[in-house]
Amino acid sequence: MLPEISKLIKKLDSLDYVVEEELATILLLMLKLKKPLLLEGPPGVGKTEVAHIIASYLNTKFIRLQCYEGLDSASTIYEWNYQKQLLSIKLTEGSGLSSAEKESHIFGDEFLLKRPLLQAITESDKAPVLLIDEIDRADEEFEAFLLELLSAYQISIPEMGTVKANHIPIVVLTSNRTRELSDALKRRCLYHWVPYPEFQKELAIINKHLPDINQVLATQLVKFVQYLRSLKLDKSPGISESIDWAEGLIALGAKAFTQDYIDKSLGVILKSDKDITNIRSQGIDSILNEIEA
Amino acid sequence: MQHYSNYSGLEASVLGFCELCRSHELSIGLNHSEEALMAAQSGFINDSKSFKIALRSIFCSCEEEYSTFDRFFDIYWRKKRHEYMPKTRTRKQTKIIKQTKGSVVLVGSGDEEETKKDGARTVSGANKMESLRKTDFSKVADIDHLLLDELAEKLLLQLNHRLKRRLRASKDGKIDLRKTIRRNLSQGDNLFELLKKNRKFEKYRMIILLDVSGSMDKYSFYLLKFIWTLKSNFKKIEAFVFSTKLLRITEFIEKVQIDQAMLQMNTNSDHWSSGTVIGKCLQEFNDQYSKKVLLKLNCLETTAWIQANLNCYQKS
Repeated sequence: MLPEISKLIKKLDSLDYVVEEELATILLLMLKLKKPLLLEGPPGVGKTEVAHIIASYLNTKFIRLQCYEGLDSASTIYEWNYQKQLLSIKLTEGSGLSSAEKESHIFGDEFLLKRPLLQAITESDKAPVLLIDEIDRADEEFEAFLLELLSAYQISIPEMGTVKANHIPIVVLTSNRTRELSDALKRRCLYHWVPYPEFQKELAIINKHLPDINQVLATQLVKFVQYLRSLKLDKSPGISESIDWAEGLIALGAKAFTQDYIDKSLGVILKSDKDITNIRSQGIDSILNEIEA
Repeated sequence: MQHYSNYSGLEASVLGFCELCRSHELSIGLNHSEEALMAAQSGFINDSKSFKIALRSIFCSCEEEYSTFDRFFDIYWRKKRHEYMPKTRTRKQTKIIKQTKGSVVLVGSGDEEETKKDGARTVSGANKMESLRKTDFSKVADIDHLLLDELAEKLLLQLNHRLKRRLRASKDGKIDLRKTIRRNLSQGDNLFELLKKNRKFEKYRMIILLDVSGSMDKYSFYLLKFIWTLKSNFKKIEAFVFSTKLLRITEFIEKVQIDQAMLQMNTNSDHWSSGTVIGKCLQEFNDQYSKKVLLKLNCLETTAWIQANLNCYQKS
């Protein structure tokens, strides 16, 4: 392993983030090439957390853009504060300013409402971390718009001209792969598929979050969750659900991973009635025996 | 056939690897080559595993490409490794290097032959999924049918999703002056809040005639799935299948599950994959259903090869 990578792993570990060699290598590459990183994977595997931890590691500002269907440029780049502009016009009515002066005044920085993308490229101190979360939920039109931003790092505002990035932001895009992203967007990014964590990694994550947890309980819980992921469920549990479950069991005062506690708290890990019924009908006892074997 | 062993120097080796990947399904542009070179020069080349991970993140654009990439990386760089990477060789490693010397060329030529054999996949610059998206159903190899089913399901879901989205009123319509004035009456003459007009969409009725004769075998299954997907996006869909007979399948496609719909069609139809008597079928359609369903016709789709039955079609 390269010394820089092991150093990064140690640093992230000190920030309570468990990262394996592969992801650490890609993060290092992203920082060296200054290229956006596209993380794809099932929900709940910690894709969003990567952006948070990079911001903490670099001690820089974190800007998040949550994507959704119908997301438009007004909500992502900028908007004019219309009400404030109107008030300003009223206030300057008797001031004797020319209409050109009035216009340049109301289309100034004071009236500009910066949205995440504009914030990211106008950050003056340091390159911020920009998280474009769940890009697969946004429309293709928005995806096409991002192409310009991710290659030129500039935005055109008709009233003000082109705004260029002071510092190239560190961009992390996440996708749950509900739809295929365009090749053009993928070409502009480094790509990493984030799978569900393996047993050891998941155990380490739970220990990081809950250092006082009983080791036997944590081990059995992780084995159980790993088993659930191997089944065909409507919604497989992610890492966050495992942590919540462990926290829940501790809150319930569980000393051991028994059928009673599992049955009571199954709703923490499974988010579908069908899945819960399936697991109960399969028999929690038999599952426990199977994972122990 | 490329002789990658002819390259020398780090730059040439990286470019040679790009060339190899490019000729085997991975879509790699000039910027990727440049970035691969930058990664190598910034120290990743010093560790084979790190270099592999770095190049994989640059070259691959989906998880499915990982295995292809890994295969070519191992073949290509196993040979080049000793030139750039620290020498931590054992006797066993030396043996592996010897084995790969010839296999770089062999694999290159082997895959080219395979590609030539597989006509359905020879879409330039596209990966397997992409090429399958552009391939005619009739040219799809049997082995790809499962993959195609999966792909069709995904595409149909996307189609359904998009159609639904289009029917939703946009917030970005024109300013509705009447509503805006009314809303801002309390503000005097200041129009603080701007209200927009909502676009209204009208759902259309659709009539579909689908040819399910023998020649359409490879298409009809997917087109039926397509019709089933469309049902929720139109006011009313009237669907018919025909070959030597005409069958109205409107009630079957109303089923919630596509499997149920298919099963119903299967049990009610005995003329699937037979010949085509398009004229007779259209005549039957005219006689029995046209008055009921053609009150307001917006769209008529037929997938049949009308040319062959043109005379009969004109008569009907």
